[in-house]
Amino acid sequence: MKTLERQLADYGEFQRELHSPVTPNELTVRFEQPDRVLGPSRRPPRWVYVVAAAVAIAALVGGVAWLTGDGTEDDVINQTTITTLSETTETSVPITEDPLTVTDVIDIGFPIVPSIWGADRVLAAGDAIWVGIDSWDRTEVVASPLFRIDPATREVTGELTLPGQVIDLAADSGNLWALLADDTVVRIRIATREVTATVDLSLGFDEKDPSRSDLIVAGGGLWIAGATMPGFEDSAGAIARVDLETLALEVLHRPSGDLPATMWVGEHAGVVWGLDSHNKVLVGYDLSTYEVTSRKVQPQDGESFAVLGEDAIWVTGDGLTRFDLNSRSTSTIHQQGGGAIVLADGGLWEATAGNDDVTDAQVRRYDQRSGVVTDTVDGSTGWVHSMIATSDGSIWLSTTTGHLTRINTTTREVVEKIEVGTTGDLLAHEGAIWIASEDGTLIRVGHR
Amino acid sequence: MVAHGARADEFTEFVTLFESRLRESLTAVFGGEVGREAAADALSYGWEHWARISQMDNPVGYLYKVGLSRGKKAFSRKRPVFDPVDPIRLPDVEPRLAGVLAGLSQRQRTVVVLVHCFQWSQSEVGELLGLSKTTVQNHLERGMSALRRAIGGEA
Repeated sequence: MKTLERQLADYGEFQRELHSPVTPNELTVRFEQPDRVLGPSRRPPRWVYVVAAAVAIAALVGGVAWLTGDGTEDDVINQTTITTLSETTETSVPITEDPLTVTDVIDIGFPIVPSIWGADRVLAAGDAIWVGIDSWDRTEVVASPLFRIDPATREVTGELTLPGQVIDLAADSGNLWALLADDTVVRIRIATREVTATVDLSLGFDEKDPSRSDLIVAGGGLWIAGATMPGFEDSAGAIARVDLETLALEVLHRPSGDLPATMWVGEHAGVVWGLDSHNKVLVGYDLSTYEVTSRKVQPQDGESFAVLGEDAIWVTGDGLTRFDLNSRSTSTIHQQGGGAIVLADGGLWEATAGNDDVTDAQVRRYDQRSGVVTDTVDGSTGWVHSMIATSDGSIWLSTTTGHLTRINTTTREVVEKIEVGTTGDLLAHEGAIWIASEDGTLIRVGHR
Repeated sequence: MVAHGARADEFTEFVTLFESRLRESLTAVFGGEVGREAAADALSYGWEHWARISQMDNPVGYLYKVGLSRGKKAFSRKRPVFDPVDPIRLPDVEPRLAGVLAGLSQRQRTVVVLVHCFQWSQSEVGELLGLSKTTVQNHLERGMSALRRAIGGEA
């Protein structure tokens, strides 16, 4: 028998013989007969072009009006309050007689790189859902698309090419902000879908892998926390603020060591808290004095995630830790691995962690003051990738087995479960749950 | 192409130069049949949007992603299908090789097939997939180890 390498080479030659090249003439036939292609034809009927032209003219007129100062109230940039991932989404998904079902699968065409227990590149802003595209194991900065999805028609209604991969998205009342891999942040006007400003951060992100970076809008500013992955010798980290009105950039903290915040947690008593998610260090920035406080909350390095609760920050990683914001003391709740966490029904909910070859996750509810488990809920299938809470008193779990599970936080039981076939970051919007999938689709799940 | 003009000529040249790259890379993901279809579909998309795609730094990489998306649709998340080894044409190739290749993770399979079946350099693979050379090397080593384990001994 030949070596494995030689066998593979022979098999490759065999493949070449079996499958002929795609010729330009074949493409001509394919293009003229779109039904032959694998996916649906992207060429819309003629009437769509007519409508699109009308819309474009209207948008152009609207854009000129905005430039000349005739904008609507929507144009005003408002100062907003701190938003964090720990907040319950102000969306209700009513339970009806119709079963929960996948109502739409929207083809984005690019894999949507998942976040770790959050949803960095998928955002609802204005009257649309926005999906930014990053790449796995980024090795260079390349122009990347930002998609606009109309939740009413459930179609991709816009595509904007940005100069770098999208690391994170945030929004204020009139604008979408995108942190890009080329060390810039761009402002996109939601109404006109145009890039209206680019701020060169020059924070020294390693453009190849600024994967641990975060962006939020808070207190009239756009806050950027960023660091490269550990292990890079030139690893840089920074905390910066961009004024929403003047676009002035202020770099508040640029540690030379390994103490960058890479995730925003939220604001408490005038201090904005971030998490160095690899080193598991909480970092606090006093908004008035810019004094920096840091506290290592779990001993082992590795991925972690935090939410801001009642007078405490909860950190999941190698276990679950409660950091009391008043006493600045740390309590270890458990050390049996960390899973997704979210606040709901006045408590902290945690999905237990595990390995691919172990059984299904269990969801626990903790009392926020004491850290005691008050309830456990079984019934989810697989391990939890993403978990969110909705204002109807539900938490939703996207699991590695491709299931979406709904837990009623009042009755503390699984009330709905559906096999979606994929996992991804979750977003609740307009009465439905949206799953941004690694396989390049945005899936809407709801009741018809 | 039936269409004429500088744009068509440019696209035809692109197909001539890069079709095999695209087809081989998608074959590595999906297997021969779906991979070829995905490549053809991606190139059709490329022709439809050539004005935009031709301006990109890495149009092959972009169309690879298009092909991935289209292929996955047709694929219905099933395992890839590699053509069975023909024992007459390939008497010295382990008959289980095709099935074992299909069982590798997508990343490992893609790297192994491109490097060893289609003789791509590791740099070329890294450029297409957006991976560092070290990462490509890791996937390659793990994939080859898994293959050896699956078909038994030091084949």
